[in-house]
Amino acid sequence: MEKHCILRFIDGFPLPAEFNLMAPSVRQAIEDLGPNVVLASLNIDEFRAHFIQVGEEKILVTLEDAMNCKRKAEQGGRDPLSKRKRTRTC
Amino acid sequence: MQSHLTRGSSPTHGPVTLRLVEYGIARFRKDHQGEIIEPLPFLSLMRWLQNQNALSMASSLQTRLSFPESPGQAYEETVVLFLLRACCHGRVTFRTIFNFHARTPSWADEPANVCARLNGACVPVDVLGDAPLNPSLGVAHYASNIDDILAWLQDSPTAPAVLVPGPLFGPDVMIRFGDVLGIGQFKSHLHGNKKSLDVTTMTKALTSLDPKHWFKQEVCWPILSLFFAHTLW
Repeated sequence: MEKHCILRFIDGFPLPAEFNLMAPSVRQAIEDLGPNVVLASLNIDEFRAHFIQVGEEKILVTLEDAMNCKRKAEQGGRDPLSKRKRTRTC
Repeated sequence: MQSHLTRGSSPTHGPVTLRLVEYGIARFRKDHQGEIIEPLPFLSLMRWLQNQNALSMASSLQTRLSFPESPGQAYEETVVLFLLRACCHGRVTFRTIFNFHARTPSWADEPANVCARLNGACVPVDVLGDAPLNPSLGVAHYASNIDDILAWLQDSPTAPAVLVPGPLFGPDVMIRFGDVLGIGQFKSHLHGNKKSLDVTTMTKALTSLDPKHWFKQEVCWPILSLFFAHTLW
């Protein structure tokens, strides 16, 4: 059977995937995948640029708003770190 | 209807099945499940929906993403839609779309074209573009069990470009880029240090990409590993 080249990737949004975290569990999980594994994250800039280019940037804005609302709800109050002004209410 | 493009779920449940069959878009298979096998009605309706602002794919995704409690599936479909539209006609290379960690493969600068299989060969697929390509192959295939996944993986003569496995599988999606098989995990999270996904999320995501953990809840790994080892490596 033909062998495939395997690309393992993680797509994080709005927060990107970061493989260089120093946490032992992350390093162990990468190690467990094997020495020659191709590992990548999706390029968030390209992801965002694509939706802007096709005039659908509202999709990602909506998702970010929804995630912010969820985080605020989990924190039980206003998120002091959020600097963006949103018109949408949670 | 639109989720058939990005999610691959056959219209088998509820009144949708009846409507799609009634409108000549789907047919019943022998197991009494609906399946879209007529590409022209499917294409026509997709194009009509795309031209209605309130009914377009973007509008549908936006609505579903707006629910804070359950944006996960809609987010996965958004990523699949992005890959389908960006990775075609040789527009981008793997290096453009992906940031490689540690080891950059030799094929990083080759075009990343999503493709399906037709008569054993890789062929491009495009449903939403101006010039549709092989729409009868479908785009996404929903696999609810191991047999479905193996059938898609084992180079069956005809197969859609994207595999969306059920919840017991590890990765969220598998996608063919020619000879490169992409295995992806999607995480839409805001936890962490505000710059990247947190450690727990990253660990889980990485673990889910390890075949040793696939279908862990359902079958014994040593048995399953023989299948995947034979298929992937």
